[in-house]
Amino acid sequence: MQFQPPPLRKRLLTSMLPRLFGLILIVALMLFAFAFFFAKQQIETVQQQSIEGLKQDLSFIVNDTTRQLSDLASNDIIINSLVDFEQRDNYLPMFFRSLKLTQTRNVEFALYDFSGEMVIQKNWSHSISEKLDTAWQQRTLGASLSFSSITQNGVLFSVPVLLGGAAEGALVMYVESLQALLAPYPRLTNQIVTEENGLVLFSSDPEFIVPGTPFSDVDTMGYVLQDSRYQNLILYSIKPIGNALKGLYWLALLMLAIIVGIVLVNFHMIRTTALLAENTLSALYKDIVNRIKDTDSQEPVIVEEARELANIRSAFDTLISDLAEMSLSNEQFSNVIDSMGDMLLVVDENHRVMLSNKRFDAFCDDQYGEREGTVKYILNKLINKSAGELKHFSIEDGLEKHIKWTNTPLEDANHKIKGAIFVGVDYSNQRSLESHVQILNHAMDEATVSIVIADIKRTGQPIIYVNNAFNRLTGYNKEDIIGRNCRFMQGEGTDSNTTALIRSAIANREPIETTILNYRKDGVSFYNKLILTPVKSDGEVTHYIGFQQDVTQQRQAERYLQDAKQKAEESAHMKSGFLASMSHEIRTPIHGISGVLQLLSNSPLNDEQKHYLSLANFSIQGLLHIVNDILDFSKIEAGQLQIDDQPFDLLETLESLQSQYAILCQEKGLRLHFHFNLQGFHVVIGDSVRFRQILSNLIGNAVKFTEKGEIDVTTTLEHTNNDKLRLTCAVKDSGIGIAKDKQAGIFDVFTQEDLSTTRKFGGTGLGLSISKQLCELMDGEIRLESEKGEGSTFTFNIMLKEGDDSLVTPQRSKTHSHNTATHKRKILIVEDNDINQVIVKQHLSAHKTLSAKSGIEALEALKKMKVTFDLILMDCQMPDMDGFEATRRIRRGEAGERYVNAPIIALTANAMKGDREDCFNAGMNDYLSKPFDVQDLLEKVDYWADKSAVAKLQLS
Amino acid sequence: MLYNYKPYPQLKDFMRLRFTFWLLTLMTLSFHSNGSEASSPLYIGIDADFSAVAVDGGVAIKRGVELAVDEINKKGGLLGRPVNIILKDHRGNPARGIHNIKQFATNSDLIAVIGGVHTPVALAELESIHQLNLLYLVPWAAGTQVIDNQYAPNNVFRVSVRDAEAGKVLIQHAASRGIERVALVLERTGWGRSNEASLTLAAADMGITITTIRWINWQQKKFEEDISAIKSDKAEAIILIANAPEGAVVVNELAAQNLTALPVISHWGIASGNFIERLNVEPDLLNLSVLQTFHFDYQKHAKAQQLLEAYHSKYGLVDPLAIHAVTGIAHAYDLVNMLALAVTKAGSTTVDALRNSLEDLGSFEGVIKTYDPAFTPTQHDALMAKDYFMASFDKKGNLVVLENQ
Repeated sequence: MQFQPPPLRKRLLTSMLPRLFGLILIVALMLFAFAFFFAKQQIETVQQQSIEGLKQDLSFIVNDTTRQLSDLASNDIIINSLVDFEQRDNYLPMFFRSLKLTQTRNVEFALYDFSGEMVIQKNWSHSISEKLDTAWQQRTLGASLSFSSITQNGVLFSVPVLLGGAAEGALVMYVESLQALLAPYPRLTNQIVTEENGLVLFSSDPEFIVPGTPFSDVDTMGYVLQDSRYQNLILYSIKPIGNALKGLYWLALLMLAIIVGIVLVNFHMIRTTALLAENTLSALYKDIVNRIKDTDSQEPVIVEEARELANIRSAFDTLISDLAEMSLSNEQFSNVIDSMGDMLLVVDENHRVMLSNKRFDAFCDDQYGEREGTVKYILNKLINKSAGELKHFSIEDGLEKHIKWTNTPLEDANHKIKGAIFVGVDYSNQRSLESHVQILNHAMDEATVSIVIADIKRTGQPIIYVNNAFNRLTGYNKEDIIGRNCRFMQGEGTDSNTTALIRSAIANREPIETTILNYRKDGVSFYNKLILTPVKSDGEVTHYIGFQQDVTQQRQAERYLQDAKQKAEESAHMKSGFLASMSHEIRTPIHGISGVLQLLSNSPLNDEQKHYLSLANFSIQGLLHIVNDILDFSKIEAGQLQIDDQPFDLLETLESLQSQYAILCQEKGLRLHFHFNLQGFHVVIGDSVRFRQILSNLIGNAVKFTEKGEIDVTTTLEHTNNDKLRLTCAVKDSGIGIAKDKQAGIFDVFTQEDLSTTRKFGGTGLGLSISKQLCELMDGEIRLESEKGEGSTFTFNIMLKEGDDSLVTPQRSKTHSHNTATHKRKILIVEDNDINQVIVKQHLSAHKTLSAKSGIEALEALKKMKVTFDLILMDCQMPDMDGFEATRRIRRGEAGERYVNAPIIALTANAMKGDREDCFNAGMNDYLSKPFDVQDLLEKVDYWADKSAVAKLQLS
Repeated sequence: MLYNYKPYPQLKDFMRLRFTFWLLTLMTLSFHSNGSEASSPLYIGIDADFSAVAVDGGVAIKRGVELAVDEINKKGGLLGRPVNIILKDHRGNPARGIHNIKQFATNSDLIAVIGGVHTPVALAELESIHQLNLLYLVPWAAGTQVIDNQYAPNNVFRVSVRDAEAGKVLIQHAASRGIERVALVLERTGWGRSNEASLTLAAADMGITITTIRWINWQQKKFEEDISAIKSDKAEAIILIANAPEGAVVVNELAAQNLTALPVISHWGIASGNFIERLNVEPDLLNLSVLQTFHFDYQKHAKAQQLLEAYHSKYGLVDPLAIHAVTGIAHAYDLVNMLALAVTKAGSTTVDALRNSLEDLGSFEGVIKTYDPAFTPTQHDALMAKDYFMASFDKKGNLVVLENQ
């Protein structure tokens, strides 16, 4: 029998097992060593933790007790008791009885004075050893520091009672033993505290180690012991050894089990590996043998095999498959040809069809099924050409099919021509599209609107198409412009905003319609109305189509219209301005007349004269009213009317209007009712003068047009959303009313219901128009409800702001002025107009007056005159030096120190808003608008003269 | 010109000082036992607070004694013997005071003990003083019971405010300002109680209502509720009987409750320590008046000017207004000079002889006033209500005499 080598499995097992066991043995020994080391460390950590805990407890007791005692010692009752010798017994014992610092019973407290004499105690039943007594007194009474001691003599804490930074006494706490202070709660290990001499002060297990006995008496065999020091104390942690190492036994057992497990698993693994190798090799061997014998019959044996073995097997498989492919049939070839989209026809030298695909066969069916005819037609046309397009009539759709044929010679291996290959592609759809595009192109080319197409996907967004109209519009040829950006037609006059707009529209791929200034090739500019539309391809904008139109003439027409409008408006403004200034000029003489009339009325007159005078007064008031209306209206027209924003008392304004019109109504036999709903707002911010003007206009109208019945005035205030107040005022009368068809124009200028009304009732016809404009200036509106013969209701609203009472300056006391009317004042009147001067002088005839004709004269007079004027009345517009400048100079002291604060009242014919500010800015104290009321003048003069007199008194 | 401000000696410095004096005493004692009787010095003891709460007062008393002793020694001492000063610090603590008195008693050459600011200390010391038969001269402690004690013979003489009289003056001051309702704030000691009695009596006499009595402990830090109560009781003024630390607590709380306008009429306790430094409020914003007996602006006679010159030459040039606790200087100065006269008149240093001599001193020209006489066998208080006046603090925290006095 031949020698058989041992199988692979046996060899692997015999070589690997001994090494494996050796390795496991070493690892196991190391693990045991580590486990023992760490277990020991853990025990030490536990012990350490226990001792640290004990240390913390002790430290806490010492620190916390000391802190609490210190808090107590700084209590002012304790400090005071050291000073209050006589009566401290009244409160100190009670305070001491209530002391409790720890949970421990038998805590003793005492308060000592600076010399160590006990002042008071609580539970003090022990006498402290002399040594301890000296120790705490030295430290606490001597050095003013806190002290603590834990010894066999007990636990003592002392803190100083400080006065001015030094100890004037001490608070002492004493506990007989540490055992009582350290609570016996569960601890990690047994804990012992001993003194340096080994006497046990504390034991966590008093039955095991008795406190008060020397620690050396304890048998510590079989225990793990660890110690540490805390001040004069030694702390021990004790734990039985058996207990400590109990964990380690379990560890050893566990590890033994693991090692045995590892050995078994390894043995099994090695065995399996060996078996696998053996099986794989045997299978491969059998497999190859089988394949060589019979290729197809044997299924490959599925074995999990190594990569190397698998590679061998796959190389072998490839070899077999290559052999199989060599004999693959060419049947697939015809499948490939049939699947072609184009038509294929192969003919030999004798024009016999060698090969054709299904596509070609179907084509022949469409040609009346004439395969031979079709082949012949193709060969005839194309036999000597390499390519050509043939038209074939299709019976299927009755259209001509455009087929593009290519002719390739069929050569054999020796490049000898054996026949021809025709490939046909159907171009019918393409041809029909081409003709469609051609039509559109033509239409675009010949369109009368200029059309441009730009490719916005290319850099520079060049023009790719322009039509003939473009050429006519711009003068540019296609050659000039294709490939360039439209921008080159822009020039100096082109509005950059428009170009930016276009750019942003293109960037956002949006359509845009705009007009832009462009330049023709010959440099002539024209307005180009441009409509740009994005063109989408596959959902993405790729091109823009632009339609252009020359709108230059249209533009010019617009410009002319605008200029004409502006000129018309300007001339209207000029007219209004002229009217405004004229009205102002008219006021000055009216003022003169009015003043003279007032003077006249104060002179002795007979009844007839008085009647004439009242007629003249009535006329002058009427004239003034008309002039004021015209002035207001002109100002509104000229845009000069400004709305004031001053606080005023709404209720007071309404009440004064009521009293003003009550008399008038009474005379006419009308009833006048005022209704308010002011929501508690008396003081509001707005233009009281204009509000009054509107309302008095409406009430005046109501009175004028009502013969009998009543007039109701209803005023309401309400909050709007934006924190403003809306004032709504309705004036309802039972008068003649206004016909429906006349109502629309009632607020227009110079409109009364009809001309007869004007004749009957008079008036300028401006009142309602002014009221309407004033309402609008105050963010409001005015409207009318009326029935002919039934009466009218005019309702207006304006916007006001909230004010409060503190904003309104209290009314000057009128009685005051009467009281002081007898005082003789020294007044300087500065006025260039002689008549006005005379009028003012006459009105102030009760006082001493002096007049000056200009600012310069006034300054001279103030400087030179010995007398001191109490008051200066200053006209604003004067030759040489106006009132503003004169006032500024007086305030600067140019007229002497005595006039720096003298009261100056402005007299001005201008009732415009800015004047008032100008007056105050120049340093004037008050303001009188001409024509003024005598009473007003006298009141103001008295008020300011008084005020200045009081100020002077205070100064002196 | 800026006046030089000298800080008070710190406690540590003082301990050192005390040690030096002890050493000096020991040395002189040993000298005494060995040497000639004629030139061995006599001693005046000072028992006051030099380090706790009324340091200003303690230092002032010491300086008053020093200035007087300097003059005495310049004139050849007493009975031909130089006079030395022994300082002992009682820190405001009665127990320490008693201890100090016992120490003083061991010195046979000691002619008198000058007391300190604190009435409680003085009251506590009375027993030992009489037991050990020491002459006790009071330049500050104002408690009525300090003089009106039960001891006969009475070894205590005082040139200072007497609470019974101070009560009258404080209440009269309130009445002169038209105040009808006052609250009392008193320190919870013998001094506070002494004033409670005198103020209650005076208020009843003047028809002034005491709305509430509030007690404050030494070193008390809070007074909020008490001030609120005073406010709600509608008191028109506070009468304050406290030393500087507690006085400052009271006034600071007033400021905290926006009551600086409420008049505070204070006994002079607040002038004995660093009251101004403890304030959280500018002193001139307060409506505060303080009882005083001496001020260089009030006593303007030659004797006072001489004292000021002596003070300037010994302790440096200081604004007279800025000399702290100036009453302590004047009282101590007058007391020591009276003592010197008594010793000279008696020709002896025994306590009994000196007591008799002091009770029969005759007219004496002092810096406070001309005493005519200072003491009698039945009256050991030299200053009465008519000798007191009211002052207030200026912007710098110096005392200025109130006008119309």
